[in-house]
Amino acid sequence: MAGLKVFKHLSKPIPMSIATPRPFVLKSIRVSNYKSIDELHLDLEKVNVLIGRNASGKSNIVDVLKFLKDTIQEGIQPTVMRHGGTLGIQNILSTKKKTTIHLSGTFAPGFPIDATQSMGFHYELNFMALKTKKTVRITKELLKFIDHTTKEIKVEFIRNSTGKIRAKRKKIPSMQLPQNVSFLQVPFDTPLLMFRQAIEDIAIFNFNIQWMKEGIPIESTIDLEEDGSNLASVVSSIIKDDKSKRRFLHYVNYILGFVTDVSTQNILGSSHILAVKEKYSKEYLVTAPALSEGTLHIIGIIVAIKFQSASLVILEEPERYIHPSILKKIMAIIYEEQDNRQFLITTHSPELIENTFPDNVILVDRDKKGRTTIHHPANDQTVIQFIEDGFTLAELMVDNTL
Amino acid sequence: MKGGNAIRPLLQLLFYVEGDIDQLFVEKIIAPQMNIEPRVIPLKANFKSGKLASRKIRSALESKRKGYVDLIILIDSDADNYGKWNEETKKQRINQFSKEMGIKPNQFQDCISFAVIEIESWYLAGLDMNDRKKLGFKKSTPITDHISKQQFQSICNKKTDIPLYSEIIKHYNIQEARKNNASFDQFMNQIKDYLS
Repeated sequence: MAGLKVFKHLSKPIPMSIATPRPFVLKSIRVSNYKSIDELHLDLEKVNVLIGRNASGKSNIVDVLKFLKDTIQEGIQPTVMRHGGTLGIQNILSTKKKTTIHLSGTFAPGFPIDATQSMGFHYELNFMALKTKKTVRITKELLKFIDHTTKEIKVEFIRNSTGKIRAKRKKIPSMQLPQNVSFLQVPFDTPLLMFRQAIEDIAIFNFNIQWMKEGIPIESTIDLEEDGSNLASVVSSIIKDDKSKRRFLHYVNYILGFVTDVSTQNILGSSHILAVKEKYSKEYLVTAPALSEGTLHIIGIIVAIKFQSASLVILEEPERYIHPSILKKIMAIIYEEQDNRQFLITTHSPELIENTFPDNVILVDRDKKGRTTIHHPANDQTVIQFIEDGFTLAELMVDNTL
Repeated sequence: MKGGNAIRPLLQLLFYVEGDIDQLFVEKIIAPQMNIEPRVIPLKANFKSGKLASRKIRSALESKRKGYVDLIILIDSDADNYGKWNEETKKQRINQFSKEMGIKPNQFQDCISFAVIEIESWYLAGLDMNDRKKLGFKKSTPITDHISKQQFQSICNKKTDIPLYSEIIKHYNIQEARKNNASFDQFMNQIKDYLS
């Protein structure tokens, strides 16, 4: 395709990728009546970069997945309240009463049903506000697993508006749940549990640099918090193992050439903070409060991209605090990692888009009525004409063509 | 279409203008009035070379030629004064633009329009005398065909900044503007025909 010459550097992956299997691949998200979204169908690739003006709805697309994660952990009622309340969560201009979230994708062989082949899944959650507008109830929930080869439904769980759950093609006694409890909150069967874990494993990152600078209680964890506040603990776990420390430092040094070591320092015995050694001084450690925002952010991003167990990593505006030339390297390690996990990135950065394959760029926009719409610029004939004439998507974004 | 609920093609109408104030005018006045959703692209972006603008226009014209997109170019007439704006000076302006962009006049003649003398005259034209007074403009004739950027600045009594243009937009009356400015009226007819 025209315009790909700028991506030559991506054809030479940097060494030492971590080959963790991808048990879960999200192929599409369909949403109706959620915040600025009236109807939206987004097919996902391995790398997906959402661009669009402020308030176009990029974060609302991410929020759909956050909503599902929160629903599983806290229940739908508190989740609705946390995400805008019964009025805020629905599209105010929509004529629809129900909100629907639909995910489809595949699980790797052996996960969760068949040991020999990958399995397709469809999950659907429907809910609506009750007349009082203060509470919501789930009107329908469905999860089914489909054999890719035969298209046969292997197992299906359906929950109706009264909370009754029945399973098809599996002998499980029907169950009754309260009206606002998702069956993923109480996963009573292995496929449900596996699907729940896959959703829980979606990692969403929107770092808060100030919190990353503060000391945190020492704990052993590999799961980085959404705001990055436990970065010191995660880095501490990574560098405990010599092999993973070497790999980690390789990526840090690839992007931040002046960093020779990353460690954590105890403060007051029970807390620790991140510390970095620079090539300019062999003894002196720069601790998190004195580190540049960019350095901390980049270390957080490396951890998010390469050192998390998530099958889907979502990065919200990773370009913050980062020099444009470094974004090229960030995108290089994302593409290097794309066979291990999926990425969904929101950005306003032309440099980041400059280093993204045009096919992976998704434009989020709003129509005349304010409804979020999506487009693939690389499929638009006029955009193709511009690209053939030597323009890049980034240039078209900056000059308002996109 | 791959992956999406695109309810309309991404790019339907490209609207090239000279600068930011022209962009504001098209987005806030023309687009809602004509019920269109153009991408309005300023050609004179800060610190960008003219070469880039000409490449952009050429790509857009090629796309239009292939039938993918509609295209409108709106530029100032830049005539010394309104009295001098006629078929001959129009031809000269087209030739000048053609030279700047490195494209032949017959490639864009059907989609180019002119704000006479400059877009500021269109802004002022949409205000009736009461609104002009309310916004602090010095007394001026209702007709604005002869208004250049400099004249607009001299009668506006205050800094010509974004709040001023936004305030004008808030009070803007299209019918008044069509009555008070011949080139704006002509443009509105032209765009209506072009888009029909």
